[in-house]
Amino acid sequence: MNSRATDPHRASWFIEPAAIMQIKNLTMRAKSIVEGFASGLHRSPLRGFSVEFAEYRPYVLGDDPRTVDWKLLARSDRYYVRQFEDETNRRCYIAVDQSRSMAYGSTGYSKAEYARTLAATLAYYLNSQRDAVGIFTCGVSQPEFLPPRHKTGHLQQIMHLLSKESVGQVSNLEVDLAQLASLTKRRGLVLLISDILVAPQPLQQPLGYLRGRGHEVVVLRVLDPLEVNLSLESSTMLRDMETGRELYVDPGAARSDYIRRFREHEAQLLEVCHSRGARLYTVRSDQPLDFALLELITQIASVSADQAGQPRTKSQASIPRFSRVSEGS
Amino acid sequence: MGLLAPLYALAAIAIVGPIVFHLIRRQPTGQTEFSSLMFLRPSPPRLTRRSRLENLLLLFLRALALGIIALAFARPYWRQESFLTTTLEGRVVSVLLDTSASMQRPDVWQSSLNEIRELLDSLSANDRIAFYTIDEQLETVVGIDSDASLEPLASQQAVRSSLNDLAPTWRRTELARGLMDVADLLNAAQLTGSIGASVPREIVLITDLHSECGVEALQGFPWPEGIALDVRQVQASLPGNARLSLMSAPLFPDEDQVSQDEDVVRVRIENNADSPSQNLELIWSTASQQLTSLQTTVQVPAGQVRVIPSPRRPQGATELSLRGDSWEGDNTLFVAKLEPVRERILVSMPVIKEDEDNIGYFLSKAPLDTSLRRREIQFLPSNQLSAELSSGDVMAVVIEPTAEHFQQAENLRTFADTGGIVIIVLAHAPEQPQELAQFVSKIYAEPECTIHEASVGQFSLLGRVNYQNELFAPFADPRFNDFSKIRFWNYRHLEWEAGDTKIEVVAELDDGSPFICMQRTGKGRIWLLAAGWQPTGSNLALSSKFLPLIFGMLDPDMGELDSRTAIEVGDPLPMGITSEAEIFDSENKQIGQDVLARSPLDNDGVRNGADIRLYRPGLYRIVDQGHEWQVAVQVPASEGRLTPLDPAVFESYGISLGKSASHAERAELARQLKVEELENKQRLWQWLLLLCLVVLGMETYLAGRAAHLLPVTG
Repeated sequence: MNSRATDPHRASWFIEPAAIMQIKNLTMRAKSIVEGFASGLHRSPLRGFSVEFAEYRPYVLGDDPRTVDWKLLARSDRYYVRQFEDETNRRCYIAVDQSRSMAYGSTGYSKAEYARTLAATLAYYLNSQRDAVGIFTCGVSQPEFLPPRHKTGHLQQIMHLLSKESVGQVSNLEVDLAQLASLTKRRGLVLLISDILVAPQPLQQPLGYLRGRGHEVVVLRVLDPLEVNLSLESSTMLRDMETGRELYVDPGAARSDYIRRFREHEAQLLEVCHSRGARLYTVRSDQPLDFALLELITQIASVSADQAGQPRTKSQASIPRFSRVSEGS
Repeated sequence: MGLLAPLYALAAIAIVGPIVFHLIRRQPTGQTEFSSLMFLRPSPPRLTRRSRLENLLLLFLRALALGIIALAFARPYWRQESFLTTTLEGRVVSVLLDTSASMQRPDVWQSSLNEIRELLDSLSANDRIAFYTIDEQLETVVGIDSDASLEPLASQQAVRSSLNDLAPTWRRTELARGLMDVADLLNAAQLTGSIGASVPREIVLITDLHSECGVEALQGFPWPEGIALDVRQVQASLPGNARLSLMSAPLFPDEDQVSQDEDVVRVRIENNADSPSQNLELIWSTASQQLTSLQTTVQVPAGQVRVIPSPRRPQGATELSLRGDSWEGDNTLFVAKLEPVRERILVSMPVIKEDEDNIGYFLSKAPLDTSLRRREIQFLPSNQLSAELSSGDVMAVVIEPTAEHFQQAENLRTFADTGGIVIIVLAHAPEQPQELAQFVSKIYAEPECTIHEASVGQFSLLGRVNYQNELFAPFADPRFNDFSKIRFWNYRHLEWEAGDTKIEVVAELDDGSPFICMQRTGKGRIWLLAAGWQPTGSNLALSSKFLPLIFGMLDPDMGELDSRTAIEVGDPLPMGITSEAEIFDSENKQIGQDVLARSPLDNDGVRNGADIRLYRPGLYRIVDQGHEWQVAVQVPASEGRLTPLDPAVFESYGISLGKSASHAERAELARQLKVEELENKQRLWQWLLLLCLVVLGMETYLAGRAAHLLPVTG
């Protein structure tokens, strides 16, 4: 059965990711996805100086007299203070995994390509929201880090870094995340885009480091549809892209065991993330990018709300609004 | 049933291929990459229908077809023993054994004898064998036409028994001469009918085949058809060799002379290119003991030559030895005490006086002596010349022809024939040009020539110099070849009637007239100068070129080392010795016929010294009519250069090399030919191919039918 046809999240107005991947330029790709998105999806709960008027509030002693609306005073003879939307100045660290396993793709493009586009789109969007975005490439021989900034030309640097060809190596997320934790001095949002095809338990420590630094951590798991349900047509000799190990696989015999072990892994991963206060979302590489982005931005907005001090219920944290691929397929 | 090419039957193993391919587990075609195998476990492949043999009949037919093809290629035949029995015809094998000095190396000689014994063992009872040895000349041990050789077994026995009496000599190798002679003998034997026309003929050459074994003479020799040459090269266990030769004559100062530094000879050490060692030692020794306290170590890298002064010669030492190379045999250099030879140069002119205007004045002033030759100028009236010519110590005659000389042309030519040098100088204008021309043409034994006084303006110069000639060769270097300072005020114009003469014009004047002419006659030379060297004729005598030119004309060897210091085994002795001469070796024993070869006595009962040869290296004392000489005879230089030569060199001379097959090999070859003939007659392979086609037809039919019946599967 074609999983795409039955995808409940697929909407007709979303653009096919395969079509998006045809665009070579990463900036152009990100721009075409972001276009049409309404701004202000993550309004700040704080009031401050801004061009966006929010509301009036009665003047209390101690308020800055500059904020008093003198025209209103003239009309109503009451002291009101004008309040404006405060613009956030969020720092967002996007960690993109480019290890060898990310190079796999049965949809005509690789998971790495999907992850890269997602990161670029998010960076473009956040940058247009005047947020500071930084990039960290992991899973390569020489990880690169671009600290979050919001300045002219920074977006180009991000796009350049993302579109740089790199040779992946064996996944070592544990070390990479620990390195990222040491690199990020100021707190912000850490978004890890990876397939996380590693043992989940060792990730507990680096996730703890990140949380310990005050970061909000969102783990975005990118999976190929074939990885979810092992929908191989015939028995074949499979070669592990990371270790080079070869294994003869008869899909009919191995599928049920594969899915069971895959889910076990997912459950362990979820447990690890919860234990460290990180959020885990799973996205399939055949899902439309703008849909994924919309969901992601919503999540980021909710994270922002948490940052602003709104308590987050446990049910919110444990029920990600992304599709649960392991359940939905 | 037999197989002509049984190795082709191995192709039948190919039958296993399809069966094995059919039985082995089907591996998935190629590999598919997957992101991670962490959720997968190895799944054991299940036995499918493909893993079992199917269509056994088809498989059998295909295997049968392969087997038949393999059998057809192996070319089977039905055995017919009566057809295959053959009788081998006898052959004639001529063995040519190199017995030169280089074969003295013990392991080489022993290997050579072993080769011959092996050859004898491999011969059949009807093979005839002839046996020759070659050093400088061919020696017949068992001849092709000898009585023993006519009977095959007797000839083999004669060769076998002769091996014990053979020993290598100390002579040079002339392999080409030996091969040509043996080939001619074989050819002649066939022509005379002592060998049948169809009898195979082989020459087996057993030699160490070194670089100077004299095979070059085979160039241009038409090798007779039907004679196969098998070269069996025997190699020494240790490669390389170094050899020693004299570069200067030892002085042998008087015993009471104190200046010992002079008693040093210059020696040349030549190390072969394949020599493993480069550290050599020079040691003086007497006949009885080595003087090891006086030794010098020399480093001569392989393939190089060093000329060094020897260590100082102790009193009584007569042998200089080289140590450190792989063959000791040629390492001793015998140093003879050579007495200076007294020679006379006769000068005969119209007027004998101490005057610059005659040619003898400058000759008498010139230092013409060398360390081994004392040359004395003697002025003679022209009428006494003929009488003096016959005395043995006259080496050269310089004449300015007068009327009296004209009568002596015959004598002068005879003198030149026996090794003398005649120099005719036309120093002054001839009074009788006609007679002079006749004298010149008579002494040169050439047709008439014309001589007249040339008309010279202010002066004349040399126009052309032949630097190829040995006289001017030393001047060929541009530093020395300026002859433009030599001017001629007058000279005689010579012209030969016949253009084609044996006279070599060595130098010409600027009008093309010859200045120096030369003719080699017998062992000597006749020179003719068309102008004098005295100051009234030219300024040649005052030129620095005069002395080298005179030396060049007087010395036939052109400054080479005195022939007496470089006598090798087999060389004729350079001094004239009469039949009464007694020759003693270093132990003062008179030497026997094995060492000495004398020419037969001539009519006067005098032996020509040139035909007395010594065949063993050493120091000899010759006593003859009260005179006593010392002669050092060395191992031939060519036998010291022992770099092995590739036997393929014979093929470059148009001789096809073969391998003399043993009797068993020949029998096998003959049988193989018979088998081929039998197989060719039966041609079973054609029937097998036909059978194969039938099997393939059946296979095609069955396969087509099976494919038609099988359900179409996905």
